[in-house]
Amino acid sequence: MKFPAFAYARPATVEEAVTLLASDDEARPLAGGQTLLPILALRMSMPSCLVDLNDLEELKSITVGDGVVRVGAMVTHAQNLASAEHRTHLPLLSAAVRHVAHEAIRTRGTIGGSLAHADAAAEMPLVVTALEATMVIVNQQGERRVAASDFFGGHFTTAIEAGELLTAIEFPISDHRWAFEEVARRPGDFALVMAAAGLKLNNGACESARITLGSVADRPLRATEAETFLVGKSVTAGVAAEAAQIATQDLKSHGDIHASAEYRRTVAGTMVKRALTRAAMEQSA
Amino acid sequence: MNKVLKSDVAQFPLNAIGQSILRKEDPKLLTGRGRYLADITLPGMLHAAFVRSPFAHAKITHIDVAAAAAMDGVELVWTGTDTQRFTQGVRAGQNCDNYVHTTQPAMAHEIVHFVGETVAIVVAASRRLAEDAAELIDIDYEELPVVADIAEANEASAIANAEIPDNIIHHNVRVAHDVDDTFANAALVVEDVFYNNRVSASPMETRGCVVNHEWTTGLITFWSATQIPGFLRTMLANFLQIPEHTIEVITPQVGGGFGQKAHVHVEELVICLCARELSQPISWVEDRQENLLSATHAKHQINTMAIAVDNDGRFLALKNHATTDSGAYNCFPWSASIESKIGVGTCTGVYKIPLVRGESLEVATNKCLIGAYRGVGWSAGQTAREILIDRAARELKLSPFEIRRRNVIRTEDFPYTNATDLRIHEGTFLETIDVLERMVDYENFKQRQLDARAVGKYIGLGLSIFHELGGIGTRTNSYFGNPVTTYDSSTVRVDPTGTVTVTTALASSGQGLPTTLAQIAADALGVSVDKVVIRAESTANAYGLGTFASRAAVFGAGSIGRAADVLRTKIKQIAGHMLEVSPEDIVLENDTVHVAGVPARGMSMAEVAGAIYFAESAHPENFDPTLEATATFDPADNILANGGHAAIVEVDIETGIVRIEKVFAVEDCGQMINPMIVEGQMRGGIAQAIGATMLEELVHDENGQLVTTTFMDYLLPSAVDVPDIEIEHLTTPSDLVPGGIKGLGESAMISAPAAVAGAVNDALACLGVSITRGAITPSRIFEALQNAQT
Repeated sequence: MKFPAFAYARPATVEEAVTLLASDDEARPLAGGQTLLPILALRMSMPSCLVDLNDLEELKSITVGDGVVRVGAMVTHAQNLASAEHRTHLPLLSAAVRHVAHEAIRTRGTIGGSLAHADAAAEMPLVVTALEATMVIVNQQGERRVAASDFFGGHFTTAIEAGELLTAIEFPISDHRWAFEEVARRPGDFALVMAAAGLKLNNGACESARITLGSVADRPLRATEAETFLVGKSVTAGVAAEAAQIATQDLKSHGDIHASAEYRRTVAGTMVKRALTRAAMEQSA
Repeated sequence: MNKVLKSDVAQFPLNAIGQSILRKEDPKLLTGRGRYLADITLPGMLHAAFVRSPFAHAKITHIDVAAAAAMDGVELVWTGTDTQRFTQGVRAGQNCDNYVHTTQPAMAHEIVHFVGETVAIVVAASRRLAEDAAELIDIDYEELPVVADIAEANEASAIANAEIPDNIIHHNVRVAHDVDDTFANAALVVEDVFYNNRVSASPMETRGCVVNHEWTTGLITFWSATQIPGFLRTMLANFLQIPEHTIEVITPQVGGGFGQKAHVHVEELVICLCARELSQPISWVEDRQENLLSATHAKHQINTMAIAVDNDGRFLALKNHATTDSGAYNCFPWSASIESKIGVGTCTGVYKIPLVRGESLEVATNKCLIGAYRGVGWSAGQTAREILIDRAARELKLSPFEIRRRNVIRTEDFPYTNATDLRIHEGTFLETIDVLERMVDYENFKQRQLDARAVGKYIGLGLSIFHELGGIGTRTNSYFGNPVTTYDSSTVRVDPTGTVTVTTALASSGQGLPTTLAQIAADALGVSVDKVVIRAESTANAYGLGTFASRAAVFGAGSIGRAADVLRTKIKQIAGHMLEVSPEDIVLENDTVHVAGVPARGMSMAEVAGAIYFAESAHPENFDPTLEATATFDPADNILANGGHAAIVEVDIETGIVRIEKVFAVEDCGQMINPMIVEGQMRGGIAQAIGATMLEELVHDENGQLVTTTFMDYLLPSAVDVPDIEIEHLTTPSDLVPGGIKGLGESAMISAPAAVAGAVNDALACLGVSITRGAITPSRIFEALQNAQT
């Protein structure tokens, strides 16, 4: 379990990083290393060069303005967890990032690294999908922006092309109230199933709902039919259960050694029901 | 035979024994100065990496090592053909009737029998280079039919290992009372099939060794993270035909063993041969993936158990059939019978069950071999029995405490010979039940359980009462049908300045032996603990088998006690002579040697020792000044420790998530040497029990491929998964061991799994659900709930 040989570069600017990545198809960016380094040790990946992004200070800040929270790709999970801006503007991110692994991993691991890796059982892909964030991707030609809904192409697959770098995530500040639910084998493990629910209520009636499921498919799923169903209704326990049923009825989930497909499908409904119920309570509080 | 009679057991006043003194080894460990195997570097040291089989059963048709051997920095590449020139490998089995022995080659040379089996080795300047070169070795395999589980082994349409006819390693009917009528007529029969998941002991430090061969003298120095340095040396000599006296096994700091490091592993043979071939030191420290693939697996078995119960809740008869999924070879030295055969030998536990039918079967599969792991043999049967007892209690509307009280062996029954022919002469089984009931506050729990159900919450209580045959020696091995002689020795020396140096083969893998054995030696010689040093790191010391089977405290106390007894006699003799009193009037205490009752009339231990070593004028006539004695120990009979566990859990029936609220533990390990260390052993074992019951499972697919090869998929309990643990002690001193000491290392892994699994079952019983398959994952609970609803 030793790394294979590879070259190592530590660029000082994004431009330099992108040039390095563009010059070598087998080069890989190194962010927090919490996934990439174990994969290297297991020799499941043999990059020619690691382009270490840890000197790119420009990717390490959280800024708020114009109804948008911009989170640099090299912001760590620990920074996101500690962020007062997030607690105010992105409570869903604050809630979900608690479930990301453990303190040691959160201290090194980055939001950009997690999104670029695109594990469908990870929390950050679900959060950007639920909040309809925009991914900012830089290449030698400049910058391009991809909606979260177009970003994930499947398990471990994203819209990032060779020679490109994810540099920031822009979250529109949501006027919904949010709740996040997850089950994992142990606290901090990848989710067996998770769900985020966002509700905008008007005089007790649902004006808008957003329901996103995670770890039930090869990418986060929006349950649009259930969202439509909720509009105009008061989100009682019964309505939440009904919405959960609609959200999961056509789900074709996968089984693995940690949970069966049937478990994921059914408990995904439980997660939706609980998240909706909590989001509705948040609103009235 | 070195049978120590009860009357031979040394007696001395207890002073340090019983004190929770801080561990002598902790300053080193807590400041990162402990030297583990991976910390050893020697001039010119090379590093080894193994190529392991990717198939569960296949013929090796072609191996080409040329590219690997040609790589810069590579010193040696060997395959099974090379090691076969020097050794047939590890021959293992049990010396009893109808036992099929197996030979695990040092490296597979024709057929591979499990995923992870050694196929080739690369020795290079660094581990990275060795791994690079290993990838260049080209091997062709022709796949053979795989025996993937017990069902396929029984079916025997494929054979896992040609050495094992019909895939049967051993079948043993331990006891065969006629139970059929009793079962037919019983008021209640509780029965089920219990599947115990395959787990790994997962010591924090993996296996490994560093071997140096000095060609000028032929001496081999073998640093090993092992629990059995003395025995390993003997077996290296036997398996490799190397004279034993040319080998020194040194144990550096060892980061946990739990039984996994109490085996002779084929990798150790290979590294030794390569080091001799190159006459250069070689280090092999396995990585976690190797450990999960190829270090012994554990516990994997199916128990089909039934208990016949009368209307009053009294147990009338028990049937148990246990089958171990043993893997492709016998482990050495324990053999495949380390699990089911032992489990059947203890299947009635602490209860009076007059009639028993108990049989065990070890079948071969194309998996890594089953070996020793804390609580060997006991855990699976204990879990099955205690879950069934809880079920009987619910059926009969008895409390789980009461049904056990009605069946437990009581003091007035001693000596009680049970149906599996175990003579039980001590134990606090009834008291354990009473103490646990008080700790749990059972009346309050019952109300809480009802209140919780009313609001859709499901809490449950699991209970497990156990005894442990700890301090396992010759007689306990014989009891389990494995006729071997086992003892351990210690050499105790009073140094010229009055300090005490003890050497022994009882190597510590983290249990605190440098402290607890020092407490024993201190009391045995009347000196303070800081005057004693325990040296267990080299086979240059006294011979012994090592630290396993809850035996180090017992064998340490026995051997140190007996050796110290010889020195005490000598010290009394010379002190009596110097003080002009009879030797019988001399006592050794508080670092002094003085006339009983008159501390002023005496001298320091240093003065007496000085006189023995350096002042012949002070010697009595014909005095032998040897102030060093070696003694062995092997208990005169089985030593029984006992105790119990209770667990309270809450199950979320919508998600199958189990929260373990609390675990209660009662232990009677006789006189405790160091209560803090005892409780550490208990807590550590309970954490492992929670892991083995709820989280851990080595999963193979239908091709025998291990799919849980990292800690991402093989889930160990972390600090947040282990709840508050409340502990109480009972004390029944052993009359077979100096100080009254018993073993306790394995107890929590014997019994706590039953309590945790029982608690989940109790929580769900009102929904008609029972869980008999480990690990108890959320998905399995969910499935059981779904099945109960349909």
